[in-house]
Amino acid sequence: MAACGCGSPTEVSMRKPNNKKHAGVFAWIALVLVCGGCASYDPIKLSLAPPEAKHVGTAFVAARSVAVTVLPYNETSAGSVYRKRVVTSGLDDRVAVELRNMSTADVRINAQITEQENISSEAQTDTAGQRDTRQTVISIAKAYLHEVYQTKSAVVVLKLEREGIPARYFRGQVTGLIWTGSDSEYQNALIKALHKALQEMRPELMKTIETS
Amino acid sequence: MKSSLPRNVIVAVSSAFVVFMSGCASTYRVAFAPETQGKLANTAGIVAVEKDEIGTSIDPSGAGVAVGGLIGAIVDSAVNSSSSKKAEAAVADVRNALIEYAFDREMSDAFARRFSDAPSVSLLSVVVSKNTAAPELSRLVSESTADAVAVVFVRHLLSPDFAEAVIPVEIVVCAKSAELTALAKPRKYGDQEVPVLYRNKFQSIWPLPPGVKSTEQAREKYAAAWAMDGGVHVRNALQTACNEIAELAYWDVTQPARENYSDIPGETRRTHIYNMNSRIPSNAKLIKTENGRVWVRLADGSLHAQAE
Repeated sequence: MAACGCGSPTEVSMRKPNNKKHAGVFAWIALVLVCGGCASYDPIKLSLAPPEAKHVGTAFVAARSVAVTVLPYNETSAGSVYRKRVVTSGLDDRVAVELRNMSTADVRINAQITEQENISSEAQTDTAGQRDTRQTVISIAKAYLHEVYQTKSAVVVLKLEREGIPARYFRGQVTGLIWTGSDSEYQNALIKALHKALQEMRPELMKTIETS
Repeated sequence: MKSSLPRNVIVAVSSAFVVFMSGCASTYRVAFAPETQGKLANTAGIVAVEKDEIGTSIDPSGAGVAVGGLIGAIVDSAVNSSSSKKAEAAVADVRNALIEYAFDREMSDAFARRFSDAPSVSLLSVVVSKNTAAPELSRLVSESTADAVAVVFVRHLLSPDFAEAVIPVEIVVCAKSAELTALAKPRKYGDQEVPVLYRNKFQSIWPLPPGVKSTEQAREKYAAAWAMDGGVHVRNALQTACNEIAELAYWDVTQPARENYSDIPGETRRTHIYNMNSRIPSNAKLIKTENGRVWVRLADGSLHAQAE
């Protein structure tokens, strides 16, 4: 998992729940959780990255750097819920962290999380004499968790917008059996879905930037 | 390397739970008390959407029945999980075609049109509440200042073979004023009891148009057919289904209560119940036939519309 300089991603979210030593414990936990799920709906707060990651520095030493703005995740318009609610995702922090680690020989992505009204001022970067004044904006179009008959499905859809080019969408989806129904299990699935979306988006993003 | 023990035990427990829950069928419908007539002019409408992308469903496996017991449950769970994964993988094209489609707005518009001046329940306005599931009903009701609140919990999904678009809906009208609360029946949603004046479940099923339906009955082919031309067919189906759900509700709120909905006289028809994203076959009584569509009433009082 990529890490930024100001804080590490949530470790617990990467732990796999299929440890042999704890097999019996997991089975009983599953029994309790599954039966407990009959009576109550239990929203969870997913915190995928520390809040201070929103204010990371933006300095890069690279042949050429392109600013990419990641819009803060808006749970009202983008989020969705089925049994587990994505209340505070932190996904936008994660997108920025991942994008900053994305580079080719002569292009580094300098990702920032910015409020929408500040995009135009933030989206101009020049570190080596080459200026890219076109706005490149990435936002989380959809992020949700849902269940399909004992199976969890985590979905993240990223929207890539750049001036002069129609908006493109990139979908990451992870589907798997529900193990314990724990928050960390759902976080893990959501992070994996985000990685898949980023992988889908990467070639298009690079092509867009390199031809600009 | 993964351990197989927890997986097997968990799926077995899950299967047992689902099998247990599927046996819990009783009368669900609550009809308006006659005394509420003329007192529902100040009713707020809320369309509550759990998930704003189209969902999938499966036919639950029955293969484990022959084996029975824990092994049978494990077999069923493994098959169900596999079916779910395949369906979720195949639906991506349809979801991409609907990426900028506001299904919740479609449903709220349909209800606002149909119930703007309805004699039974007149909705002042209809707003959308995203990320909201049925157990959150008490919160929705407490936030309203109207005399009553009509909440439409809606999902939209594809049938297991992707041949049909399905909209399952649950409508609950809750009392807020003291006068209406006295006429309501308490029902539990989540951890809270809510004063219910009326509630029922509805379902509208629309198949792919015959002209575009693939002769090759593969899920991927149907997905491609729904998604073609920017998803025009799935949008049309969802729009029509939203209007039909509003029409079903408009009719049903005027219907009196019955002790038992399974003894309604008339022809028996086959339908499907979409519960927890699984499709369960069921019998229902024919209510009416019109323009190639049939309305059927299930034993729990819920109302379905489907092709004749």
